[in-house]
Amino acid sequence: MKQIDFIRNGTVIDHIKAGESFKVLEVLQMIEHISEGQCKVMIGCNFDSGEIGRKDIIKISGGFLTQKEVNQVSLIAPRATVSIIRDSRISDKYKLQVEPELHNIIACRNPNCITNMESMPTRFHTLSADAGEFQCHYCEVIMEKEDLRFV
Amino acid sequence: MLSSKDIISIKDLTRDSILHILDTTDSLLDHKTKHETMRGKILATVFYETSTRTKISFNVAMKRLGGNVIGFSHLKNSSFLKGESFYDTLKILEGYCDIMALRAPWEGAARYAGEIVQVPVINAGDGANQHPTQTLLDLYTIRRTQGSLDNLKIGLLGDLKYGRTVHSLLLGLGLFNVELFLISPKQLKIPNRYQRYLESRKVRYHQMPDYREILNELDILYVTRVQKERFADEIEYAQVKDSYILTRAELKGVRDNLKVLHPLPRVNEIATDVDESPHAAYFEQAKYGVNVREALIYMLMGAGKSES
Repeated sequence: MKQIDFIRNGTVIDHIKAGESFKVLEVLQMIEHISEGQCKVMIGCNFDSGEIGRKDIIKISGGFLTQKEVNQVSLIAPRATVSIIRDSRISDKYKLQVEPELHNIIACRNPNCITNMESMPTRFHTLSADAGEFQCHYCEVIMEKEDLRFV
Repeated sequence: MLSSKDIISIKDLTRDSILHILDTTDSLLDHKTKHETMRGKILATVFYETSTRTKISFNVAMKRLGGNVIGFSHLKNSSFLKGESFYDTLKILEGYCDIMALRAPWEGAARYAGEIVQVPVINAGDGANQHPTQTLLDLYTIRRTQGSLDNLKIGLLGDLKYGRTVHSLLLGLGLFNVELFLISPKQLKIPNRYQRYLESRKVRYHQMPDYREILNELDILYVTRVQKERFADEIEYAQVKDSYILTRAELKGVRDNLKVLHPLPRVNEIATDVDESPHAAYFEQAKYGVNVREALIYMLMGAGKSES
């Protein structure tokens, strides 16, 4: 049984841990060429997966993520796989990797952090990519996955 | 030597760099190192919020070294209220001084300041985050009174959940061979991430609600305030507040070398009759604050280099 439509051209984000696809959608919403373009976004939740038990999947028809955007997705879903589809074939597969330092990607959740007072770029250190823990370089607050907001 | 031009967070320091700072403090205190080495130099005390003791302590430290001090002591005395950015204020002050001590109500301000200006920056407290000179003077007092920072039994008493001082001290003590007794009401227990830190450093620690059961075993008892506003329920506060008042009578069976420390200000958690006891070291501890800050200015300004 077909669970979610095939796409001819676009991006497939697979092996998202079940339940985390809505957070990934929040990231995609921030990406203009996806949210304001002509892309069609499909989401499937709670599919069986041999590897991770249950998984979510997102398909973006007509939208192609860049490496930088893939890196943003990786903060939310570090074990997901991202494939770029052209003419119904996989043309690129991105390996997700969370950089050890994040420069001006996420905003600090601490309202009293200097980065929220001054006009300045943020900087975070990755403590655990899997657990989604990042420490603000300035105020030293530790952010968890549910705290993540993008700059 | 110190690896950074600034002192921002206790996390940046290694065991060796801490010992180096404490040795320099000893050397200044015992007059083995020349004073007056900062003649012609200017310390800016950039205080966006009031902290009288810390500010005076920095002033005295610089003056003992023969230097001068400029600065402001409250946000309302800065140009912040006129809309000037933190960045601009610091860039301007950078041109007026050789070293800065910064106190700000925003967490991370000191780290950012260190990146903005070329002169050394000493963090004199950034909001709820760090106050490294307090931790260094705590460590100094422990070593000065005990002869070492290793093989000690140390009790930390009071608000272990929110207390910035205790958290920083834990990070520092984790670099040494100590056994810790974390004593607090159950509402104010040490956060999990600090327990994880102690475990990663293989520090032995015990959690307990009452200091009386281990007081006689301790080398150091570090007391902090249990603040009423930390309790959701006034009845809960009333239940615990009296069990955290150390009295002189309780010190009868303790070890001769036990010292009682407190970051001050104290409210009533140490009865005043303890002050005259040979175990009271909190006023001495406050006095060492000047010596440690002197050592930091001395080291960051590179004054130690030519002599070593």
